[in-house]
Amino acid sequence: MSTATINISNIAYLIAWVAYVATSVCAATFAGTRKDRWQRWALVLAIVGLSAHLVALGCIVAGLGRAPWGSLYEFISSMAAVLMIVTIILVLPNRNLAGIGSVLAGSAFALMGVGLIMYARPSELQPALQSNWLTFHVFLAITGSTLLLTGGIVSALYLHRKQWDSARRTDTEPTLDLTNPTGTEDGPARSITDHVDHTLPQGTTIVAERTTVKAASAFASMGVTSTAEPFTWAEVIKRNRWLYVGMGLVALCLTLVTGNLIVTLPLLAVVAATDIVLGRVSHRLPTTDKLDDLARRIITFAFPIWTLAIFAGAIWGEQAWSRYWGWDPKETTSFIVWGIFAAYLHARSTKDWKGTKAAILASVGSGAIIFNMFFVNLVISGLHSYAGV
Amino acid sequence: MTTTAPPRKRSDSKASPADAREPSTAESEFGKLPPSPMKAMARLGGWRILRSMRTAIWLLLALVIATTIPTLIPQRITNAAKVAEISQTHPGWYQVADRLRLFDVFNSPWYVAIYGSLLFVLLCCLIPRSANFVRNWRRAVARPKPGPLPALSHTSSFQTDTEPQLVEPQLRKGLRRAGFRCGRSNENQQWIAEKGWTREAGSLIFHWSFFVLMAGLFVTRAFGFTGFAVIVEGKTWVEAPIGIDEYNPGWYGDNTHQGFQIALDKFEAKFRPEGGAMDFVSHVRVIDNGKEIAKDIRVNDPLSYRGIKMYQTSFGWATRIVVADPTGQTVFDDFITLAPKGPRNSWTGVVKVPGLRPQGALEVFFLPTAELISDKEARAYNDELGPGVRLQARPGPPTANSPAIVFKEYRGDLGLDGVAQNVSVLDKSRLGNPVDAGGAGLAGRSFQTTDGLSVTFPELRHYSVFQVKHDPGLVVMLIAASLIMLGLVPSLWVSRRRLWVWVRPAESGSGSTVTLGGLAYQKKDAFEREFNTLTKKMNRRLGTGTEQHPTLPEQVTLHNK
Ligand code: HEM
Repeated sequence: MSTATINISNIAYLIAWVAYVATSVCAATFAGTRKDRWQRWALVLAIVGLSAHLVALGCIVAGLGRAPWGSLYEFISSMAAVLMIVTIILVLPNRNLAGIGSVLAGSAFALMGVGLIMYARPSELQPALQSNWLTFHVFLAITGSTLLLTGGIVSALYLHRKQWDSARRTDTEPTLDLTNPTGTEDGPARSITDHVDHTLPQGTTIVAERTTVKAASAFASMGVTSTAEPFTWAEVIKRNRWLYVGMGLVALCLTLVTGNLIVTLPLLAVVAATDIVLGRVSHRLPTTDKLDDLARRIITFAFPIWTLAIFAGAIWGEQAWSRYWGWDPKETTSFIVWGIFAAYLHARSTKDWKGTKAAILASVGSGAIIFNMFFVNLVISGLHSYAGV
Repeated sequence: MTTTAPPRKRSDSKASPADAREPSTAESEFGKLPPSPMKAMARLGGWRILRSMRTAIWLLLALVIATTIPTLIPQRITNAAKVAEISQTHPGWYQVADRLRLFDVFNSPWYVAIYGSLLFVLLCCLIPRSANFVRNWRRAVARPKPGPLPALSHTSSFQTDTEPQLVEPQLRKGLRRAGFRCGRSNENQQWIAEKGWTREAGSLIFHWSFFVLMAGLFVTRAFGFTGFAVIVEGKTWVEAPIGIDEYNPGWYGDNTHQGFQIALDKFEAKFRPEGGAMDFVSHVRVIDNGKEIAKDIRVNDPLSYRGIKMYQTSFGWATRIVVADPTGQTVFDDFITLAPKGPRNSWTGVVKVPGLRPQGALEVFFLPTAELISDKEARAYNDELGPGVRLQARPGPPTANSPAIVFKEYRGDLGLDGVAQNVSVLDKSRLGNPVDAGGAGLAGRSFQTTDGLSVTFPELRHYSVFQVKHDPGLVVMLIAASLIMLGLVPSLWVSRRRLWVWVRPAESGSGSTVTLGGLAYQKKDAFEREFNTLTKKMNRRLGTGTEQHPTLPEQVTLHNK
């Protein structure tokens, strides 16, 4: 692979990286202001970033004639691309969901930041890694795990919104402005009508007073609290104190694992800042119902992909190492991830498990995916680890 | 015209308590639904705990938690060396952990108990669920009780000029073409159409497949075997228990050998200039009852013949050694396989010559890249590695640029009597100290030992190591995996939905009014589109009709959960 190609790939990667953080900022601004142009900007920047990102990956494919996941750097890059594809297709074009594009694009940004730390110059693969089944396996693994990860992030947002909602509900009872059912620009009922538009069959307009009241009471029970006062910055920061303890612990662990404080601190600062901002704008996040539904859609789509990824890996293992399953650390963690999301799917159709408990399972599942990616690849050596990273 | 506003919903006294738990109000009105799995389970009294989804979730989580242990504690099956190290460094902890089988989680009784219970609970769930499925399948789609339109998430209605008797078959045909199963109509010309039965069927297939998976594991354990074959280039190996190193047969694994032969014609290892491995190939011929099949075995491309698989695992050097006694008679002439030893690219092997009096043995050191010095000088050296040879510790691919052997000669008792011995291990206990040490280059140069033996090293070849494996369970596992995928996809991606159809004479006198009601149990957004297109399609199908804008009935239910 020529140096020129590698340079193009690296530059495109950096462009994508910057575009994603810009996407994140625009989406967050949209969540805060509800001005359409920010949603459009977020979408445009995301598409520009993804195009650059695909160029970065394409250079590796073209230069080496192999799929772009030969090192942890490339692997992470591919994952971030999948994450952005989901964001662009499912989240950013939807007014009700676009706000969480900030979190998803921010996650892609964080992932790619880690990717930069892990940077390894793209090179050829050793014989055990040249196989069609392997390519298929890793393709599915990247797609499946990124989607599950996204589902987990959305579930975490669900928990987030739910927690802030209940905190708010104890402070101020939700009130609904029924005198202005259609809502004016930035009017208080805006998000209620957003909700109405999406819940009732198309072509339905609410005219009768009676229906409005009915719908409104339904929404009140769903926890739409758009007129509630948002928390002040000080309140959010104060309410987040347990988060800081948790982050400190995570920072400690990460520092022990990577031996590098300079890497972990900015990352944690970003996460903490995100959480504070999210707390401040929690009333602007999509409703719990929307988040729950989005998480479910992503996870039910991803679960068979992840299952097939595991099977394809087994078939490859059978060919390359003469066994389809050997409880290698990576296989073990993949099974754990699979089990957690299987439990999530069951939880979703069990009365007292749906909602919060299911969302906790999905969030834990995405934690397991991160663990699988970083800890298993870098700390525990096994057949799957990326040598030389 | 508009839809006749359906009278208020009747209270349904027949709904069982289980039905009452379902969030959808439409169900009870709709005649009997094929019970959802949840309902089916809830209906079962005494076995409730065994069959409850909650138990399944807890067991799944228990399995997950148990499986995290091996990511934190090294396991014998994957990292035996580390476990051995712990037994040395922390003997106390080791004992406790070993009692708890923490180094061998996947075969521990408690792990087996967890997944055993899960499978048992699964069986308890599956039997009634499957029975239900079959019963409902035979019963076909239910016939609705005559009456008004139940509360559904979607309704539409349109009129056509065609008479009701002709409309109904047309509608049925259209809906069937759209993939719906249609039920019989009641006396009011109301009937139900259903789609999405593959969801429940898929779920059942998926869950049953875990038992197929278990069957596959059992077959492997019972009838398989594993081991290694070491073949020198130009030699032939017979597929039988004696030929297999580290042989590990299943309970009936011994009876599954095929007895064919493998001739290794050539082994090739290709390296990149920088030294990285590029490709390993063994060119072999399978010889079976006079039939010959050529095959190249590579790292990702095993030989699979009559149920036995051979995988390229590693390779090494084999040297031909010729030993002649003082009278000039050849007493040993064969290839010995050499094992890699030491950091400096050196290899060792053993030659045993029981024919000599007293018996003799050579401990051979092979150096692929060596610089030989004279015999005289050679004798002056006597270090562990190889006397008489100055190593060129050249980094890079292990190719043999200037191969040489050196050896130590032993005379005495090889200890061969009685006990079976490993050919490549020398029992030095009754051999005493080496009597001589020397070197011999390639090119057929012979080396005279002090006691008159002549040792020649005329030829160097590769040997190739294959993992040999017979795994009849593999096919079963593959079937199980396919069934799991086949079941999983519809069970997650398909939604169950029902239509309620009512055809009646139009109020104006001629023609008919068609009312459609719809309800989806999953994917409600997509159903909305589907419902609208279906309405349009049916309307178009019936010709001249005027479509009415789908109207929202008074008692709309918001299916927001
Ligand atoms: C071997 C362990 C198990 C695994 C991996 C597993 C996995 C799954 C998955 C992935 C689904 C989602 C498919 C769907 O929603 O239709 C599912 C659904 C389901 N599982 Fe399991 N399952 C297991 C054990 C059990 C057990 C023990 C039960 C009995 C309580 C059970 C009962 C169900 C039911 C009733 C559904 C359908 C839920 C619905 O359609 O809403 N499963 N299972």
